[in-house]
Amino acid sequence: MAAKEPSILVANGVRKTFRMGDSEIQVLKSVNLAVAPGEFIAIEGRSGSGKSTLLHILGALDESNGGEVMFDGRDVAKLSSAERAVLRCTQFGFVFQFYHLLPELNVLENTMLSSMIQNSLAGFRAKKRELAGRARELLGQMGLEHRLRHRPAHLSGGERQRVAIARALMNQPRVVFADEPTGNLDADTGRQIMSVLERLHQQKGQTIVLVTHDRSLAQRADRVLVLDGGELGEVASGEGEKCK
Amino acid sequence: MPIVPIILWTLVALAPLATVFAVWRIVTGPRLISKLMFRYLMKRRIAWVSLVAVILCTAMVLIVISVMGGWLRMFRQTNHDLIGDLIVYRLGLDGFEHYQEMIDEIRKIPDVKAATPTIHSYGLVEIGLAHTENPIRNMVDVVGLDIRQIGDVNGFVKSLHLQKEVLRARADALAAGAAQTQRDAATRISAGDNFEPFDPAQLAQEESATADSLRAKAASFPSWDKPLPDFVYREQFPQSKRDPATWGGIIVGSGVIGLRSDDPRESIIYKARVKLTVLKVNLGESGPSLQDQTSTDYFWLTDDSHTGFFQADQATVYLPFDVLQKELGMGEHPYTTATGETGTEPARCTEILISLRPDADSYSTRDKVSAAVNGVLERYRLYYPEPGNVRVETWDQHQQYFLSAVEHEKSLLVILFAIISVVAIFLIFCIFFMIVMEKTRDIGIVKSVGATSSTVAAIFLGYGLSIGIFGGGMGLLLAFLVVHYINQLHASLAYHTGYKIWDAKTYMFDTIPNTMDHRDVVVIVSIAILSSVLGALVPAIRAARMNPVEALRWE
Repeated sequence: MAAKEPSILVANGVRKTFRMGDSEIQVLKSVNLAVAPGEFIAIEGRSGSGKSTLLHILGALDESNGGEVMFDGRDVAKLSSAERAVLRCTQFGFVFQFYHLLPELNVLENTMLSSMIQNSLAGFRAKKRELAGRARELLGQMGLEHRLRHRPAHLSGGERQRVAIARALMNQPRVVFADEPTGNLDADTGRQIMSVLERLHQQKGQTIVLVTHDRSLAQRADRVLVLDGGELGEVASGEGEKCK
Repeated sequence: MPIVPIILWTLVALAPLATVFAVWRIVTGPRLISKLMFRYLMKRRIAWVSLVAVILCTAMVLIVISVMGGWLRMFRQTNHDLIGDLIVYRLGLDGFEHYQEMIDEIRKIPDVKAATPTIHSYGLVEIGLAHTENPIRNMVDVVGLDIRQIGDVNGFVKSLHLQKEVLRARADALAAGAAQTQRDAATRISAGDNFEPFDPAQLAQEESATADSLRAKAASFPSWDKPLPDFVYREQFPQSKRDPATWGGIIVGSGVIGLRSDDPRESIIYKARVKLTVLKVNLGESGPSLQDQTSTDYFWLTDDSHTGFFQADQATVYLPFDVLQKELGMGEHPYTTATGETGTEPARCTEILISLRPDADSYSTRDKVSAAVNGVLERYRLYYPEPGNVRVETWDQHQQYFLSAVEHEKSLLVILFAIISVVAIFLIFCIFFMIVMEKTRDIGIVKSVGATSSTVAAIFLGYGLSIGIFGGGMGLLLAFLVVHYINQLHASLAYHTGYKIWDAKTYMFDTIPNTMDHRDVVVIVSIAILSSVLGALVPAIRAARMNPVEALRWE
């Protein structure tokens, strides 16, 4: 993707500090980032470098201690808690390392989670057929059409992660945030999950922000950024592979 | 203002607000709320502990309130039925005079529907059939009443076993039997059968006469009359010095002869002789007093009364007013003083029972009755010093001593069970706190997918609400079943363990109240629901305030 296209998501001088007893740990010192629509970027860094924290701030799950995060031209920090929730529900999709599926709901219901939040009791009932159809379609794309009524406890790690991806895509988000999506999977399954994300990006132009500590996975993105010492550095792309 | 009442009132105010919020969010908020709260209810077994606590607390409180409230209602109703609306009485057994003038004045009061005099005394009875070797001997309350008037004043007539319909049914059965006897006789005569020693025509005639007498009794019900032909009575006690056909009728409390309401009476009614001995009231020069002079007479047991009030049913017999008045020597009475002065002592009664018209105010009418009674006393220059003065009271004032004791007992039990309910609320709070802790990651998940804090709060409040609704509903069902079958359960318990919880002597009624007041049901089930929501409130607020990132990292 062209880097100079208008950015959908921008971070300017984002800072984040955690208090541990009497001492303060500055995880993010001044992070600057711009994500263009349809771009697939990977943020790479060591464990504890603040990648997930940055992802949470970008995804309006957490608040920074300074700087600004602009989504679609709006300062996320200035939105109310309810407005940020709406943003997460309608504009963003999350895929976590530990899948984070609700154990009481089956695969189909977990996929429709964001729709169940977006729609009222009556509204959901009116659109249930349509919403269930979309969830089935997404699960079909993930190869899970035979697992609709199963609960997460009865799925493998790879299947759970594919359900999580389907859930993230349910409300057709403009940005998907993936936090170490393969971190809890074996190498083969991890590659399969990465292939799903790549296919989403390539076939549907899905904007994806991926966080990983695995350089080989990061290199499959359009652009790789490295978070080190609380600052984000860009990696120039080379022929065949990307390197710092 | 002390801090504890502030906290309590805040909680009381918060519970309905939280309930309204939960219902509003379930109906208008995200579908996820109802989905998750019901799924948690069905899948999280620890919540079933709260459910069971709510069921048991609701059922317990409902059963206790229904039994105690029912007892109080029965007590009030039975006392009202036994007394009427107002009572004029004087402490002691010698009663007061000029009661008829008082009744005449009382009847002039527009709000008064009816008034009748009664006499209360004590006596000894001996009840037995002609062949009985060990008759029942007992000390009893003896009540004299006008059976024609008493039905207009209180519910005594309703307590009589031989209701009009029962008499008619028995008459019809006897008449049918007589007709059958005649038909059988005709058939057998034509077949040349010998009827010795019975005369079928006479048998049919006797049955028919008895049926007619029963019909006459039904037509004149209520009355003291004996319905059977004289020969029936004479045959039973042929050795009696006084002609048994001339003995009057007496009604006894069902417990005096050990009868339950569904026991057959055929072997006792009109067949049992009641020997009654009472202590006469001496109307002497210095006024009435009790003397060691007794009066004994014989009566036929013509009916039994089952008021449901244990003490009344167990030890009371009822006689015609004028008969008891005469037996006690309380009728109009000529006297001669030591100085040779003669006069007539007026007739006396111990009580005047009064019923009021439906829209009458009992307290204001009581004052009018009191004025009428005092007017008669003043007219005859009668002065009864305290505490033996003539008093006018409403029926509930008259029974205040018992009523307030029962009401206090009910209040005490309600307080005790309210404390138990507070424990249940605390239990729900603890369980919900545990559930919220256990579900912390779920909270992070739904928040990351876009649930607002209010949605998260509504999930847990709705969860509490559903426990309250299910628990309250199932508690109501359990309480209904227990209360409805409480007498059978009690009988079964007593049969298998030999232990009777409900002692009729203590509780004054032989059956445990088995009805539920719909107002009690509404209040208690509502409290169960509100309490469940209240128990879930603090955990719900905690869940709503959780940071989604911290919740996702929770282990």
